[in-house]
Amino acid sequence: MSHTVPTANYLILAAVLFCMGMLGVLLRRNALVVFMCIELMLNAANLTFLAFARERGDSIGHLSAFFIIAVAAAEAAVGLAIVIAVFRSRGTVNIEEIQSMKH
Amino acid sequence: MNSIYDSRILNLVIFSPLLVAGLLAFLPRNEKGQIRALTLGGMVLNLLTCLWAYSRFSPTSPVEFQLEYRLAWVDDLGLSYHVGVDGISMGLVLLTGVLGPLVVLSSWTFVDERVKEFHLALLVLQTAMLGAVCAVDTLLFFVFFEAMLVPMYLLIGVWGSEERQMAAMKFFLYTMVGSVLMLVALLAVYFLAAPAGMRSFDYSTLYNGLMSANRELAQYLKANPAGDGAGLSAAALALLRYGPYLFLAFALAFAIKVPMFPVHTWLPDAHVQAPVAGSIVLAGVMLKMGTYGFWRFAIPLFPVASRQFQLLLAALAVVGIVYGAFMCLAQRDIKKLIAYSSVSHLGYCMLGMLAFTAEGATGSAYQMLNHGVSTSALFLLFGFLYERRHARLMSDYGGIAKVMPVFSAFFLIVTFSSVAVPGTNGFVGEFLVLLGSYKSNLPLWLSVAATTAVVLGAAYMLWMVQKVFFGQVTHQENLGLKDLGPREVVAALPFVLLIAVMGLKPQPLLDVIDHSTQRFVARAKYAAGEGPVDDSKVRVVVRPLPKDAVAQVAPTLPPAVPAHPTPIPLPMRPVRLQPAQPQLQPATP
Amino acid sequence: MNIPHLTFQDLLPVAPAGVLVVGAIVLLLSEVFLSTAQRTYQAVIGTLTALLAGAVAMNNAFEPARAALQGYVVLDPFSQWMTVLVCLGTALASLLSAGFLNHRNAERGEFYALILFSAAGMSLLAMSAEFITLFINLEVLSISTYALTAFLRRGPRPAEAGFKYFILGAFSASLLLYGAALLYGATGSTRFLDVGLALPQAFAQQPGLVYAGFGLVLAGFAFKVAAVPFHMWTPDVYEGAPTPVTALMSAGVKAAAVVALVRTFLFLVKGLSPEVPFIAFSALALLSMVGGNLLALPQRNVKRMLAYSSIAHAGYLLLGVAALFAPATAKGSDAVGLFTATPLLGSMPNVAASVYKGLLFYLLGYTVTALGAFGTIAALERREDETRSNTWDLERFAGLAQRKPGWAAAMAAFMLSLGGVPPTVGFLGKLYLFGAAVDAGLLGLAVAGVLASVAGVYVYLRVVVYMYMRPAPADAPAPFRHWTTEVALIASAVAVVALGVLPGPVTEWFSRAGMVFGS
Repeated sequence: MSHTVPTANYLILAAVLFCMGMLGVLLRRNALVVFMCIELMLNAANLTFLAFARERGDSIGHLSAFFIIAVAAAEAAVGLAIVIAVFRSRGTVNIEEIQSMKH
Repeated sequence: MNSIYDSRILNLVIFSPLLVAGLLAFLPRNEKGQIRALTLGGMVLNLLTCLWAYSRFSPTSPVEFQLEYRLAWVDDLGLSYHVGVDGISMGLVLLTGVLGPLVVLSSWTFVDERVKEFHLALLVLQTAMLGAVCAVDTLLFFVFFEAMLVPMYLLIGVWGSEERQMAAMKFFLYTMVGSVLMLVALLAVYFLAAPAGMRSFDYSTLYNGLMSANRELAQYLKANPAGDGAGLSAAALALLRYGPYLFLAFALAFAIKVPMFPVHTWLPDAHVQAPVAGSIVLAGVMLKMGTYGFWRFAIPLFPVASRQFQLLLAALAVVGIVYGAFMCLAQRDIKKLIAYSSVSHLGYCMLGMLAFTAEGATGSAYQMLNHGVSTSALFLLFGFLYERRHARLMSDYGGIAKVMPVFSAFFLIVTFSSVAVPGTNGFVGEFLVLLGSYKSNLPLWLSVAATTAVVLGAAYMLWMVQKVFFGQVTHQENLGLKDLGPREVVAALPFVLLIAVMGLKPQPLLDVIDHSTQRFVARAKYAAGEGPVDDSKVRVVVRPLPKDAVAQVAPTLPPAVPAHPTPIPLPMRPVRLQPAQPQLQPATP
Repeated sequence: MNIPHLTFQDLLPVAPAGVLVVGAIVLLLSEVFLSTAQRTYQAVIGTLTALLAGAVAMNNAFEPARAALQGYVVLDPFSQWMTVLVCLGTALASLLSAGFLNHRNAERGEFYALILFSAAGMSLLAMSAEFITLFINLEVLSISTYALTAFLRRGPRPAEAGFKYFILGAFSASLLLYGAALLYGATGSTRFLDVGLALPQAFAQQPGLVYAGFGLVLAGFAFKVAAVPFHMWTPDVYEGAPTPVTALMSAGVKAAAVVALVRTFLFLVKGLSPEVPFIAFSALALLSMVGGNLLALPQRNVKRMLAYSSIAHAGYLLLGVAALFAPATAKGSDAVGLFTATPLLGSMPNVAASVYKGLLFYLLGYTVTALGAFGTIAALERREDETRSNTWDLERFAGLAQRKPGWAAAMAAFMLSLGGVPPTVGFLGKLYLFGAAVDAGLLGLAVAGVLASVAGVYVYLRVVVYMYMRPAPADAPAPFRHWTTEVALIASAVAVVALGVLPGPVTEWFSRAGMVFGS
């Protein structure tokens, strides 16, 4: 096993992806970019599951990843539909311009 | 004589107004005459049930809560619908019952908008007030105590004068702040007073549960006043640590309601803005909920803590007396003057109670009833005047005695009662209160200050009467004022009769409150460790929760006092099951 | 590899969700085969399906607690009663939607189907005992709710609200999932039972990993429960969503999320220092109770005000959760602070049963009250003023007591119940929850909570002030009449008062919720 990449590297990569995604959701202004950042976060979770599953040699992590991919796809479908609805009614996907409600 | 109705009278007393309200809901809103007549009929009916209860009430009976009725309500909290009356609540029931029809009469022509809602609010309010004074279950009391707020809030806010919304909101929020804190304290008492499974919000459970802990704590504090509680039982230790806070939470809730200085500021606004009916009910009954709360709950449940705060509260009461009197002297608005006189008069109530002497307590209880009669009468009579002139300032009047002689005669008699002229009811109450406070352990200067304020009281009332009724008629508008009509005389006459009867022949009413006064003082002293008082004299004995849903006839004699309080039948506690093991063992990697 | 052997017993807990899904499919098919102009029957199907599912769940609620489907879900009274509450809310929401959509010519079978799918998600979420199951059910619930929020997509507000809800919902789900992945790494399992068993050792070896997982899962749930400081999506989403959907979100989603949170953390706290979860929940509770009520103070927009109120109510629920996790050994038992548990009698009593009962009763009360309150708002909305900014202004309620005394009385009852004034169900719910908190010794937190609730009372009373003490504006719209709306509102109003006065057998039923799997 000495030739394989250690698990820690995968975990660090996943953590970096997750943080990038999180910061992207919080900071970016383009709805589509935000959308992609969320996918990034979900995939970071996937990567973590897979890394641990590989280390432990069990199947739970692999199974989880499959489910997550399926659910994320369904979510993406609805999410994109909503983004399109927003674009049709506003003509923009810039989050700063989608603020019609008072705080 | 025992009757099978005895245990049900109080239900009639409490819920007959609500039943009438149910009928009223079906009347069309335009039939104002019918609505008023039906409400008046309902209130008279309610008064009759109150009188019936009074006729079945035995002042000499050793049973504390008479005409008891108890029904399981929320089992798992140990909450029961438990009503009963002792002397002081009987007095308040009578007062509330008497005021009911008079309130309707007083607003006969005053309220002409949204008549149906107005009378619905009055009837619901009547039920809530009667429920609160009859409740033996603490949480039931709390529910009625809070339920009073909504109709009163509407009375002030909908039918009041210009600044009514602010006044109504202030009234509601002040009371709410106090009562939510009391609710937390009440929950703490609930958990302190009995072990899990035996818990109940019933007054007997709470009082009996804390009794021995209070006694233990009092004796401990006598031996080592600054002790940290080492060696005390868990309950006594909890009372040492949290008792003062719990007492203060109760005291705050009731002090706001009384209202005591410095949390009285909602009262002048509420009174000034409220319609006549609202003022009468507010002054007549609702303020008594504060003093009654101290009497029934705050002091007996926390005798040690109430001793610790005795001086502070008594001083606040005297400050209230004097401050109220001075504020009265500074008022130009008559309604505000009467409101501040309430602050002053209720200060006497609190002072008498906090003296913890027999005279003081009797005077305090009597003063509750007196204030209910005389201040309500003042608001009623001023309401008649206000209806004619729509002016509240003293300078708008003058020489009214020439124009309205009957009215002036009534007003003068009520004023005499309010300033405690001998021969009126006010005198009996104030005299007993002052006597009690001189006899008590309170510092002399407090009693002296309170006594001086009696003079101030006479001064501001007579000054007001002089400016309004005597001298020349200074305003042209006042010349055309009509004297009281028959309806108004009918509304005012009972007050004058009550003032005379309660002033000249106080004994029957004093007898009614006698037993509860003795109990109040004994409870205050027992736990304070003063004097050997027998356990059985202070223990609250009530009927246990009936096994079946239907309450049995109340016994006239107490059952042989059990050595331990009768435990209330326990609600079923849920049995906690062990979680079943899942079928699959954790997978081993 | 053994093939799982399913029995009837395994399918019992998911039966209510099954009923809901079948109902939803029927509704979708009805749209294909039976499309007529008059579609109120779809609301009726939705309501009946929800009631049927509720009945099935109620039947389940008397079963003893156990694990099912190999420990991936549990069957216990807590989750089954929660399902009953969700079904009740769903039934009322379907009824409210009929009038609302009818008024906008937007009645579609998909809408009711989505409501039912969302309810199925809520029901399953409450019984999930495994992270991936939890995640999937959370997404079933969330995706349906995103679609419902943006259902009236031509209006500017619903699309915007749907978008915001989607972003933050997906964000919170990702947090939760990443936390689950970390915990899986630390313990080697995703099943709560195994996670709980392995946590003490994992905590000893990799405390950082466990803490990170714990924090991420907690944050994920806090978003769903709408606890401060994870609440920022709530006002916009609640305001923008179609009002019946808002009602369902505020009652059902919150209820399911709270139950799932309790279930998850019953296992997740094992091995952790007991102060950590306690302080975390206490802080969330305090911030939500105080923040929700204070943020509601300046609102003139009633719908937005109710959104903040729903945050405050999440705070009261979290107060109960904090009582559940109050550490058994109190440090410095004299000091009463905001984040200390100082039981009155010195030793920590077992408050679990009363907390579960309190949570359920509070959620029951909140469900009927919130549905009623949002329902009244929905009935006062006009189609024309979807683009106006003052649609839900307090002024809408001015003089309602004279125009429509029945509606005003019902709304007043809802407001008093939200404020916790007796004799309404809101008071009894608060009594249970605060009772549990006082019993556990959370005195400081309870006092803070009741004081915050007074601020809430002010907010709710303002609606009553407008209804009863302000004259009606000349152009005040009458509530639209639709029999389904009236049935729903009457049912809620009656429930608010009746459950407050005579809770009857309900509290005894909920006492069984003390049997929580894993506690």
